[in-house]
Amino acid sequence: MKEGSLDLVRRAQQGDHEAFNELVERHAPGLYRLAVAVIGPDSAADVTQDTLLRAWVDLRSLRDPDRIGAWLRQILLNRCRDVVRARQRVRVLSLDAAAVPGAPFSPDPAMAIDRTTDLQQGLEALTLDQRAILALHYLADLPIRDVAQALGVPEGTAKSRLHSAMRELRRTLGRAPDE
Amino acid sequence: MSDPSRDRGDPLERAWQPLRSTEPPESLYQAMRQGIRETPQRPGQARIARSLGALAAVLGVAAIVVGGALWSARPVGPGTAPPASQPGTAPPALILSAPVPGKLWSFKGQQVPWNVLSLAKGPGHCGWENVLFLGMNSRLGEPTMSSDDLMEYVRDPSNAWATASDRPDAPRTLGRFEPSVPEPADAVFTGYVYHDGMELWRSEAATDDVAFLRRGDVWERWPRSAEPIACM
Repeated sequence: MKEGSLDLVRRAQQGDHEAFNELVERHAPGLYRLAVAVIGPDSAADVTQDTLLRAWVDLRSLRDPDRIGAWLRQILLNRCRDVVRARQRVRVLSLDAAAVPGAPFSPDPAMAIDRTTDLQQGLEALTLDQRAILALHYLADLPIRDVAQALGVPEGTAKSRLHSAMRELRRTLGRAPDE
Repeated sequence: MSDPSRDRGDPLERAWQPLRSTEPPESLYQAMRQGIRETPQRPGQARIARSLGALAAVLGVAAIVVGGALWSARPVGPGTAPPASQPGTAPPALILSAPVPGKLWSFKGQQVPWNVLSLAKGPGHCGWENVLFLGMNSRLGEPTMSSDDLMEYVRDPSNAWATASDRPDAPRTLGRFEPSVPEPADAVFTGYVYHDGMELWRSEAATDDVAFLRRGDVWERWPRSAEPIACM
């Protein structure tokens, strides 16, 4: 029987490498997908790795092991914001990217994701926060309540931001708004 | 768990499907396995056992852990501990960032634990990603178990950390970072070498207010942090 996450976290908090490696196996795919959506495929692996390593270092500060998933997502989103700020400072320009506040993706032909999909093109035009809220809801499959908690905003605020981000994404994808 | 009001037939829902099947590269898992081998966890409070049986096991394990801790807490390094801090000097600051996997200090060719000597970047969300913090115990060579023992030296070439003007409680350093100084006449090599060959030196005259980092002919002067560092 597969060991529960709670037991794995507790063992990992005691320094058990195998337990943490198992947690990595379980959580890395979801974190990586979130990173790809929020910050782009180029930096997604690095940001995911940095997130998991920080989680290992600070794991004993996690008082509620049940919340490991939410905690990891929070670390990852904070790390994404760090990367975006660093990019804006360095002002790296890419021929294929527009200078949008959310920091553009840069093309990486090594990535398996088809970068010509509508979704990738649509996400590129959004801000980091818009991508984050869409990815948390559509990719991580979180209900609005959990999205709000992940972003540290009231539920009503999360709802309106989500609708606004959806409207913007539909617009950039060339679809008519819902309303 | 997911929102029942979502329309699974919505084209926007289906657009996410390719991303849902994306997998991280295998290299990420390999790097993580290496990273956690090389990176110690920050000490934290252990969960208190609820049952008598678990309590007995914890006590037994604690005896082993304490014994092991006494063994591992032996000083790593020669008698190069810095002079004792003067009364009234500022309290030590906090290590903020995890070190990079594989990039550790060594003493006489042997890697030392991260809590003996560490070099880490500042957190990016405070704009300190170009600031380096060198953390050590006030008795160099001993592992740092709490912030009471911790001293940090700061490499802050752009003064991003030292003069954070939007923070009225911005921490300060005991002196300024200087990227190129003459070799101190009383410089003493501590024996600690970073993975890329950078060396840690001390100066008797400068006491523990300053650390000197040498790379080839270049000597850098890193001041000690004067106040606890906090970044929210």
